[in-house]
Amino acid sequence: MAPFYASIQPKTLIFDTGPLRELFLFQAVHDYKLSRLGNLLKHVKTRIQFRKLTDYIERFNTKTTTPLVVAEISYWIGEAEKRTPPGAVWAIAFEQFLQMHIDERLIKLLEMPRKVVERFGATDARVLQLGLSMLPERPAILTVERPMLGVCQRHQLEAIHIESVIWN
Amino acid sequence: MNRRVAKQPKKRSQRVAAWIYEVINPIIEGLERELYFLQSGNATWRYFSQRCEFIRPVQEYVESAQLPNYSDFLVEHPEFKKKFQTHEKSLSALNNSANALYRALLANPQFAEKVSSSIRMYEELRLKEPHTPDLGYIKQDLDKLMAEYLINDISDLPSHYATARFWALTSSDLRAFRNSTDLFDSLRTAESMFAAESQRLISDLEIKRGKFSDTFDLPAARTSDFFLNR
Repeated sequence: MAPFYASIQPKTLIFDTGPLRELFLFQAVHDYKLSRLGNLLKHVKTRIQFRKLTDYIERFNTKTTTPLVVAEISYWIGEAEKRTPPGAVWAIAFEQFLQMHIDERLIKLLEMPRKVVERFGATDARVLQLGLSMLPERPAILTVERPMLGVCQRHQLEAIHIESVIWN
Repeated sequence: MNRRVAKQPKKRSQRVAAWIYEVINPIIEGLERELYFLQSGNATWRYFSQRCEFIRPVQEYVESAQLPNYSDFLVEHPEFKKKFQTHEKSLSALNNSANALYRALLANPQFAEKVSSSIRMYEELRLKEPHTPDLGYIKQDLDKLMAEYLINDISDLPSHYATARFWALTSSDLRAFRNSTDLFDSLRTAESMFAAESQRLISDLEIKRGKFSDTFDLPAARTSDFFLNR
């Protein structure tokens, strides 16, 4: 049976921090045997789930995110690399950005609705605003934040939780 | 650092426990990872860093917060300093060999022509099948990436990689270069010498760990109740 999202055809995928983190972590633990990071994986636990996630990502021509997501990834990698050879997780991150052609688009603080920033913080608010600014490109936001789904729905913006991708 | 005049550590010594759990075990884990990659001919070499990314000097397998324990272990067991240096020399030979092969491949006109004709074939396919992934800005570095895949003996790529379809379609032709023995021989030799060195080092560390376990009544791996029951 085709996955449930097969009928939905957004063209641009916007990455929130969580899914990128899961993608890098799974490869680090399972493909590069950095097993000390294994307990950091929260969602993608099996090879089948990883495959479902990458199959989903593969459907999009364009992938993008915001520089603040990259900054969050940077902080997380700094913490993770206390338990790995230096630069090992960064090597995975660089390879993934290169191979997925992930673009970064700047959204300024003052361009965002203050109430959204207050509620979700500047990173998630930027991801949301990026989606709104790209509506003609039919974006979909991939996230691990459930509250984000509701707010996206209210703004008629496609959003999908990573669990929906890997469990369907 | 000078060797200290040390008293013999006591049974269930925390200091020796730190050597086993924070130094020896992570190093063995790193060395086993090296063997895992090298068994499939994957040196984990990357063109953008010009080095083996997941095969590292021994010290890098120890968590940064545990480096004082690593230094302490080497002060008390200087024979391992020499063994680690031998590992680093073999690693350096492996990196040099991969770098030399990379330069040789990029300077090889047959390789350049094969990459160019593969790109032309792929672009023609994209005209017929528009959903075929765009190579995008990777195209300008594709010869470098293909050299990397050959050096690492890559067979399949994850499906979401921009080069996955390209590699699936063209790798059988490109992999013929791996049979060009004069180009790849020195890499294969460096890999097998390095793997033998890693295996030897694992054995030496396991013997040392066994001696610590016997002498100081310590388990070979940390158990959840070890520090609670001391």
